[in-house]
Amino acid sequence: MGERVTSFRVACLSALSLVLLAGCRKEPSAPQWDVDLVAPLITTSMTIGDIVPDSLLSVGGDGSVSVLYTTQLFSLALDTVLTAPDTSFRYGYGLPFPGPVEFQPGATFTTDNDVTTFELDGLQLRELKIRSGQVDFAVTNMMNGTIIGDFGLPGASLNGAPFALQQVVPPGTPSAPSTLSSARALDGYVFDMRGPDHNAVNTLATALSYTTAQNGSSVTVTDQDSLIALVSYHDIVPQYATGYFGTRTVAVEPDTSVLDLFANVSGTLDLSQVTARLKVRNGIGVDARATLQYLRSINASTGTTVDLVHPITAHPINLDRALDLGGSFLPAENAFTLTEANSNIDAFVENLPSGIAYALDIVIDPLGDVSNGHDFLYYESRITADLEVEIPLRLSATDLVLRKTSTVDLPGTAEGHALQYGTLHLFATNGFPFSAQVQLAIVDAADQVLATLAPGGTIASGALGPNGLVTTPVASAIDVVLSAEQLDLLYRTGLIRITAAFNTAGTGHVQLLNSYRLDVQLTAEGNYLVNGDE
Amino acid sequence: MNKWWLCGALLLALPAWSQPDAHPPDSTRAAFVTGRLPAPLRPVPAHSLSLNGSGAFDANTLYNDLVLGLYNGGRLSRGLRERSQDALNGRNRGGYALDLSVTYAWGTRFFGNDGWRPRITVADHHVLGLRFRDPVYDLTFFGNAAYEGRTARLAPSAFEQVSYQTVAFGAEEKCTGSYIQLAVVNGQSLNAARIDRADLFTAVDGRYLELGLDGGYWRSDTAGGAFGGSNGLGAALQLGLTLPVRIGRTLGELGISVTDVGFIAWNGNSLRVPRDTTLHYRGIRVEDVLDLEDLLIGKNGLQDTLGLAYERGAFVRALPALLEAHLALGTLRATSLPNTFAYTLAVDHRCLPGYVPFVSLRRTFGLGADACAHVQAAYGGFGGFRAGVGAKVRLLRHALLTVASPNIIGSVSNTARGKAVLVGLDVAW
Repeated sequence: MGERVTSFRVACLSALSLVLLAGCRKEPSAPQWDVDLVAPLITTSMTIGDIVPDSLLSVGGDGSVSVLYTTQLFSLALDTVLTAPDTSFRYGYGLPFPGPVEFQPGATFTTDNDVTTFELDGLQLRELKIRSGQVDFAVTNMMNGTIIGDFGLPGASLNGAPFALQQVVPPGTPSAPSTLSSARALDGYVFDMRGPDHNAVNTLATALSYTTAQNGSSVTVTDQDSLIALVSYHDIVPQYATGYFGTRTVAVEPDTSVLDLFANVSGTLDLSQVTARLKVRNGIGVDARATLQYLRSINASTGTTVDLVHPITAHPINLDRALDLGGSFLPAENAFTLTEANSNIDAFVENLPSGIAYALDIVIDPLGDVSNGHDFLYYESRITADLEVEIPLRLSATDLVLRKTSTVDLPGTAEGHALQYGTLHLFATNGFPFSAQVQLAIVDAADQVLATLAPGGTIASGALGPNGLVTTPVASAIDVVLSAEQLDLLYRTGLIRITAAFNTAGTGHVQLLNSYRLDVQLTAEGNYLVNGDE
Repeated sequence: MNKWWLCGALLLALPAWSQPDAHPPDSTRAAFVTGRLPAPLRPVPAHSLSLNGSGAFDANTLYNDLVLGLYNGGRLSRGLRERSQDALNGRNRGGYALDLSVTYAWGTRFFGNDGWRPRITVADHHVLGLRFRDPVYDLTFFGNAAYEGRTARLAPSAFEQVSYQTVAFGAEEKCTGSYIQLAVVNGQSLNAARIDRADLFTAVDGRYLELGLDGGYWRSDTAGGAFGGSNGLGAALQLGLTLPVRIGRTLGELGISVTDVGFIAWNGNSLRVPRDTTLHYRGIRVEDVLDLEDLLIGKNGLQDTLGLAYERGAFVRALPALLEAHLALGTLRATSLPNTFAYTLAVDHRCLPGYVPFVSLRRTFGLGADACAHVQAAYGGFGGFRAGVGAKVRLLRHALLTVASPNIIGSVSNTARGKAVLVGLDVAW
């Protein structure tokens, strides 16, 4: 019996030991092993439409393509012509003699119908419609009874109702005056700036009166008591203004408009034909004369600049005035065509500008008040200049480089990733009349090359026929080896830069057709660590 | 999870009572499988409790170092993988079965029948069966680079991995231990595929992949697939018949049983991919080769591209039923342990891919009044020829412990194939 008990204990202890040992074992990690994979990754086709957005492309009947690119050079807004500064007016009332005078309850003891004249920097406005703004009306009472102040703008109306504002001010003393203020939005009000007699400018009729409270006691006033009204106009944004805006010069400070047409492109581009149109639209109801000091093509990568040479840069441009349609307006468009015959627009464009710099002066109403006080502007009025460039894609490219850096979202982390090393195969069937030397590089955030992926290679140009058009697409293959070290580097930066240097086939200009295409397939042979992505 | 299951089985084996009349079975069936032990023949105690656990994996070509490497994790060296690759024979099989069951029978009659009594069994099963062609192994462990310019014929291949639990109730014949039970089945998780045709051609330089595919994939809802979760319900039949036999002057017994003949209806969140198609893949189509930022796509995107997206919906699949039969002859006179026979011929089959009928021949020796041991030779299941050993010992008065390894060489060697252990404890009072 004793032996049986002992054997039972031994069995129990042994089993318990097994359990404990198993329980202490570290939780297993996922098994890992490397496999050699070969597989297609991506396929794509590239046409002109993929290089240049469809919105910029125009296709001729023969399949030839042109790029029509428009960029806005500048846009001058309403505040170029009219600004309404914040303005305050102070109105005081006091007995002109010692007094005292007693005013019975409900008595109106003074009424002041006056005008307010605004200082508008040379503008002579006859009408002003307010888009947004505010008027504050504050009354300070030093009299011993409650005073009701009524402020009105007989020349300002909203939907036919004149502007009126009332302020009830409790009693005060000269040593302890009582002041209350109220505000009213002016949005939508139309100001008749011709004054009460309709023969002035920048003038607004006002009416101010004081009344003792109807239910109060009588008010005794001496020459020591007074009432002060303060009327403040601020944050006025005009919706519409008309009058004479005055002859004056507006200097448009030198500035540069960014041009993205040639973003990431460098090299030599020779275009056979370029046409550009400078369209200046005047949305303000004034005659204007613009003097373009310069219009400059700037290539930020190379630092080269090309100034446009054309009569518009040599002489002032007269800009017609917009047409007031009563509630809206029709801008006047002034267009100037730039060709290789009358300008250096080809060199201007072939500089592959990343920006266009300009500086100009604009003279408003250069001939004076020829509209007889009917200059106008709307809130939406602008003077804008757009440059339209039409480039028929008949060109010659020499090492024209297209470069793009992309963030590669690889699975796994820099510390643990399944992809170990491999070779990328790029297969291309090129129907374009230019070759492309392809290079891949791993770069850092500052776009500095950390590793170049070799060997790379060149996608051959399509074969040209006697007419200079591609007759047969040509197949090419490029290999790019990605070592384990380079892959680690790529995981750390996540940035890869693709550079393609294009060279047109033949010696002269080649015509790009809408039908040209480049078929690309990317495959990979790689060593992959199963469960290697952390 | 499987590791903990084994631990659980061992824990259940700890509380051992002793009793002289308990008659744990000779476990004549192939020990690879569940290890549920037949009920005692006689006499009939008022209460009978059987706790049985078994865990085993086996393969006819894959070596243990590879399987254990997959289980334990870490880096699998190329040499380790190549050793199993060299052993591939074109008809490769493998799998595992982890089973735990508790059976309790009690009383003296069943619905007025004195010859029967109630019986209940609760069981937990985790099984996987796998059969595959050599290229499946090659692609899995070495990739497709070696198949550049040629076709990898992957079919016929199949696998099925099921975890399920059963609660069965029925009746047991007191004299023979024959029983019949109906079980409610909880489907925990399913992962299964059947490939009738799969020819993968890898073009030179990976220009394209072409896959002729006829097969299907089934998966239970990935949510709630842990132990205790439920992704499906089903029913099953469990049946065991034990008959005393006499051949000439030799006594013995004949046993036949079926376990878990039934089905699971997997719920509406289950997934499947039935396909009979040919796929030609040249890579993901992208709009801008210069824009790599959206180039990489996930597994789901690739599945959609290949037309292999999941279909969501309920489906019914049969359970991996177990069929067993044994013939035992020759009572051992040296031991007082009942129903211990000198020779046992057993065969079983589990309805899983890669499982072939498992045939074993066992010789049992008495080791005194309260113990015996056996050796056995077997062939089949997921593996090939196997040698096994086992022992049975009476503990105190009311318990009988059985420990066996149907694959003793594999169980102690990582350079062999398969491992198996079986533990059973029968208590009667």
